[in-house]
Amino acid sequence: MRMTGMNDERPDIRKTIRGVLDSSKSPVPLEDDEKDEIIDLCIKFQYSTNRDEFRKKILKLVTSAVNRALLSR
Amino acid sequence: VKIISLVLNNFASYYGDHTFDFDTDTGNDGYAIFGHEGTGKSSIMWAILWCLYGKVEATHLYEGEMKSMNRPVLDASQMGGSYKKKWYAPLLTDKAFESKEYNISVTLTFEHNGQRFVLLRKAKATKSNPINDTDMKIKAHLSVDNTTISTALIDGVIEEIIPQRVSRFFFIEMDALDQYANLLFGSEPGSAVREDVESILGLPAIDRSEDDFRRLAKSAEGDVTKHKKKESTDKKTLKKIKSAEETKKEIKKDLREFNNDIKGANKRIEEIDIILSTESTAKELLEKKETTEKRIKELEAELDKLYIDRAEMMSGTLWMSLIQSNLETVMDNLDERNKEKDELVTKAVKAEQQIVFKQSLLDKGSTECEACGHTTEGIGTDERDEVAAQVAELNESHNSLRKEIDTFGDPVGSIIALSKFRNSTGHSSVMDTDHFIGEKIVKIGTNNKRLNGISDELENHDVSLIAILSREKVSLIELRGDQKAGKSAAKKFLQSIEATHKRLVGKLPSGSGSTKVKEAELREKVFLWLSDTFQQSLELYLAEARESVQKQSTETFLATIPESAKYKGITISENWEIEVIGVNNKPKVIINPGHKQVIAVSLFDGLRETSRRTFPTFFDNPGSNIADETLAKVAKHFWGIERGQIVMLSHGGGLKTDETIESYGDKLACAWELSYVSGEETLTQIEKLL
Repeated sequence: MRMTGMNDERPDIRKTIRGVLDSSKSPVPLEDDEKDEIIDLCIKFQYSTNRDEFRKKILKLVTSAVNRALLSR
Repeated sequence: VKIISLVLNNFASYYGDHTFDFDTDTGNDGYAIFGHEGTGKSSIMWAILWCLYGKVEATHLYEGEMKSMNRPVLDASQMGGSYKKKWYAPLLTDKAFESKEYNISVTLTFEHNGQRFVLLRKAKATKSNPINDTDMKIKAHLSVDNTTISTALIDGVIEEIIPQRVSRFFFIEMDALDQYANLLFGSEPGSAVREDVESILGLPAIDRSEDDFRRLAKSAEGDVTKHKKKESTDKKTLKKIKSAEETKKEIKKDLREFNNDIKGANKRIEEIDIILSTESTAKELLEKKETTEKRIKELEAELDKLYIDRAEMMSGTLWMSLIQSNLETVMDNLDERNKEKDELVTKAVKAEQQIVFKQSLLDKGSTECEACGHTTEGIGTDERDEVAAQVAELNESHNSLRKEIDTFGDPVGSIIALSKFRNSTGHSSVMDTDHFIGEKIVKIGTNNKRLNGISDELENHDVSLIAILSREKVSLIELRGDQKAGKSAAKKFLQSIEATHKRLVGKLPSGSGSTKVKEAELREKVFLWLSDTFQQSLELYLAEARESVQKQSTETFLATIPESAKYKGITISENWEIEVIGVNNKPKVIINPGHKQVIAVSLFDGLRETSRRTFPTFFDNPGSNIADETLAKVAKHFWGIERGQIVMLSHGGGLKTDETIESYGDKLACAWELSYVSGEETLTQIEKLL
């Protein structure tokens, strides 16, 4: 039986990461879109030899969430 | 991804244009390409790889070590005969090189997510006689639904569709798979194999990100330390800023006071000017008085100077010059006196002569006068008394003359003595100085007279008030000058303080120090949290993926291995070490290289399926080590499942053309036969079978 189709039992890396992110309390609130963006970036840059761009984008995203959290306090 | 067509031009054995049209309306995804060794089967895979990534890697086993190298597009040293070819043969067709057609291209048209991609890669010579790739210019062009993609973005687009790192799982060289399978059966597969396996499953997305999150957390930790240190420095800076602000306030206060004082002085000066304007005559007189006094002082100073000059001239022998005029006068006087004396002496001599004569008259009767020559004949008594009286009178006169002569002294001697002081040198300059001195004295006198006149006139005015006001005005002007100078200095100081203030403020971060620290602390926590969650995700996903691969591989293995009833399936360890488990639940030792190939193919299939990547799969030369029965099962299995395009590139020792067409024709979309062009044993021609 192939796993493709309606009853797909294959693991989904996005769902796995998202599940763990959702189940653990983040030090600052993260929007669903932000979590998805983090996962997208991780997947997009997984084979990239230059990690600087990845780190820059992630840093920007996290800094934004942190500043938002600080402002709301 | 579904390939629509592949066009090769001067690529490997494909001289000129050759097209493989994959697009059919059969609904099938199976493709078979038959051909004997060297007729260009593998070149189809290489053409697609070159088109996608711009390079084709050749591998070579040398002294037990696998070597790899990118194949050149053109290498003149290898062209012009197969005997010259090395294991990394050039991609340009020999015939094209010989015909001086130094251009090569591959066009791959495919569909992906409902869009049509046309990727063209071509190379052409930049010199008339190219030697190697440095003489070739390679370019890529990509259009998506007829929209051209920027050259700089092409690699990124292709990497997203099918990363080069995982391409080996879709372009399967069965001969190389042997070695790969051996690695998988080792006690611990090499890191390269493990990395390949983990790459197709997408583990780098978690693993590498987790590593970066840890780095970012470390960087944030550094920021915390830095900001804390900066916070301390900032406090000092804040203190300095506060001090500068206080100073600014003080200076501004001083400036206001200066302005007020200057304004007050101006006002008072205006008032004084109004009062003084009503006393204009007195004012003029005072001014005249002041001017005259000033002039007198100047003249006196000039006079003093002239006296000093004169005294200097007098020093040395100049004094002689000074006495010349008087000396002349004195000498003239002496000369006069000498003349007077001479006259007196003459008179005295005459008197003596008369005395002598008269006496002789008295002494001798007749006597010749020596003076006049008169000879007397002697005188009588009466006459004698008269002559004696005359003698007495003459003696008296003579004595008187002598006395008077004595009073004249020795004028001639004096004249002679003074003559040695006669000198006219420097006389004129002293004379000039004396003249100027006299002139100054006269002027001083004139001015003093004028001053007295002014003073007399001023007695009719309130001079004291005018003097007081004038003095006050002068004092106010001086005060105003001082205030202006003070104001200017204060302004400069203010500018300096403002510059210092600005510099200090610039040193402060945009946010407060404590906010920066909090931000960095929180950022560190978030990255540590991400790192932890990704670590958990990695463990979770790895377990899920391994289970999935194991399940998929087992399914494929059991579907393709002969005597499948003997096996329970495939197990995969944490290190991706493979074991085949028999029905007795015990590991089975696999020696048959064909079986090993089947296991590797099964594992690859499990990996492809688990990865969710859909890309056409090419099996190059299946059957090199696989028994016909196994090969038939492999073909049946892969062509039978609906999982994208499956292309089998088979030589005569593998899938047989006729049998395959007969057995699997209903599963195939297309089938081609490759052969050599008649008389050209290195050039391919294509015959479409289906």
